[in-house]
Amino acid sequence: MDGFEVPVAALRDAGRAGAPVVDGLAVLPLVEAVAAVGTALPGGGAGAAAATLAAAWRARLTAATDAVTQQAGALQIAADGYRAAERGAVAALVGER
Amino acid sequence: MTAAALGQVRRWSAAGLDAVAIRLQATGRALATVGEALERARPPDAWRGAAADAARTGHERVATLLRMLAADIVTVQAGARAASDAVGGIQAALAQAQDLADATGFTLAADGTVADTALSGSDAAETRPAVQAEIVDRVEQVLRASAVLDADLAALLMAVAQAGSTGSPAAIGVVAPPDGTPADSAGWWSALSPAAQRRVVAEHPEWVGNRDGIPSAVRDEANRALLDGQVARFDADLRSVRARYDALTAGGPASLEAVWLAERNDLLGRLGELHRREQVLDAVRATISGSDRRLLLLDLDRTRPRAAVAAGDVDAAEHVAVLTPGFGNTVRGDLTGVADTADALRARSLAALDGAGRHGETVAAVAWLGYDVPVGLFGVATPDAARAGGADLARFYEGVDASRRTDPHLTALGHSYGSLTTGYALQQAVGVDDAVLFGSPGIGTDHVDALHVPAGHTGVVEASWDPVADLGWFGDDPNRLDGVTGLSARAATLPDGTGSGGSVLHAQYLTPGSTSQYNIAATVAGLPDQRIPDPGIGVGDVVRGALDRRSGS
Repeated sequence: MDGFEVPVAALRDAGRAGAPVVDGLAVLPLVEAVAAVGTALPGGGAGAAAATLAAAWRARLTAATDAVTQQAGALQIAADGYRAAERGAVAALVGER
Repeated sequence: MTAAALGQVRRWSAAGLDAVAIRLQATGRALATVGEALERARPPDAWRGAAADAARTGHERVATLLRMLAADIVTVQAGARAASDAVGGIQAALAQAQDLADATGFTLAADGTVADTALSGSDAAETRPAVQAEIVDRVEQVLRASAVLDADLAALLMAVAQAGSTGSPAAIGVVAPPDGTPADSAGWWSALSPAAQRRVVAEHPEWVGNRDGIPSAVRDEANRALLDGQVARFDADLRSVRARYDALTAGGPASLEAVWLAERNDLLGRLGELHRREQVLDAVRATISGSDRRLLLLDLDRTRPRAAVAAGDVDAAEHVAVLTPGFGNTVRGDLTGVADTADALRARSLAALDGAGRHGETVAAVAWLGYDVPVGLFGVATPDAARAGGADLARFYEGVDASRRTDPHLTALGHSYGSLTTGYALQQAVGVDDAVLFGSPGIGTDHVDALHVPAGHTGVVEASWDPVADLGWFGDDPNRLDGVTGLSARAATLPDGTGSGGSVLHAQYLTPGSTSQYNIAATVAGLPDQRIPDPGIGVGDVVRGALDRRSGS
């Protein structure tokens, strides 16, 4: 495919909308919730498993946060790129004023 | 993984697990809000091109991560709830064991050991080992249930940690029953949460239907479900065999007539078997159709099917009787009759209680056809079936005790060959308070104190002209043993002034209106002082005594 259409403003809005997602993920009390299993069942193996799960969830949250951050940044870069390309094309076709 | 000790299990917290579940639920809602925010970060639809496609792929990857996280949360939340239920069951079972220990002078240590702390020479010293064994069994089941719950929950959490949620969580804390004593089974059952108990009955009725130590209401529910399944399978089998028979015979003998005949005879044989099975199923269904009856044993896949039916509430009645019939009684031909006899005996016991002013005391009576009752002369001449059946009957008695929180007044009743089975059972079981053996050809021992029944609580009834009761085939004639209480089978005037009839021969002991039925009913009701005594010495005993003197024995 060599054609494209770009609503640049909407692209910037989508990129900016990534920030509340990152903020929401940052305050999700997932790890604390599951860690309390060990307190509820002292002496068992479930507490250790809960700690393992908490670590896995922490890693998944980090991966999700990184992916959202990366995606949001990429949308902004794309918008900037499209805007710059559009300006360059106009300049080439119409000439610098 | 290390198993938690009893002291740690005491500190397990259902409320703590509920708090985990509640917190995860709130976290799930917060994550849903994050998901809505992510929707606003979706690349605009109007954006077209290769970069737009790549952006959408990136967005979908994040959305998938969040959806998986949401599924994880739901799974772990459900697991925490199930674990909370299971902990509730474990704590309840532990409380039962603790109550029993407190009431009987035992202590439970933090490591699970059970110590006898009563003063030496205390009452009922001979039963203390059995009580201690029951407490030990119950504690073992608490620890077993705790270990399974812990392992189940740990496995769930590890699975989610390693691979993410795979859908609805597996059962948490649903433990398979132990191979052990009735007290083990009772402990196992009480350590299950109500949710796990419902799941066991619904998904594994075969675990509990015939398991001694399980409450009778549960056994009944499970066995009725199993009976329905057996009826459905029977119907399918019958349709299949009939269809094959009809297809085979539609065109008459085939060219290879010998092969055709062999196949036809095989199908006829199978139809005959199915017909007998149908009669067994019909007998069981007819017997339990009464609203107050419970099916406590159902084992129809044997050459000689087994069943036990209770009238009344075995789980709560103050007085429970277990009636074991003898020679020739089958589920197919006699279950309904024996259950009706138990019903009538129960009614007579209730009337005796009313007459004694003990209104409101309740009675349950079980017709127990739980052994290979001999149906041929060869089988009835040997003690083998009684010996094997006695072991099962002993477990049944102990199961009645173990399944309840209150100790019932438990009476063992054995008629004819069933008295031999009862005799063997009473040489093993503990917890039986009274026994009445009637029309007995012997009880497998010449020493009444070999029966685990309190001294003075073994009654014998012998009717006039009952040849079986004078046989002394399996030990000495029971009514000549030291330590038995002879109960009358003759016509008599009862304590309430009414008359009762005499019983003769071998099959009238439980005939309504007879003195023998009254005496047995009064024993079941715990009214020993209201019985009509009689040594039951008849012509047979006189003749046998004379023969013994002549032979010098």
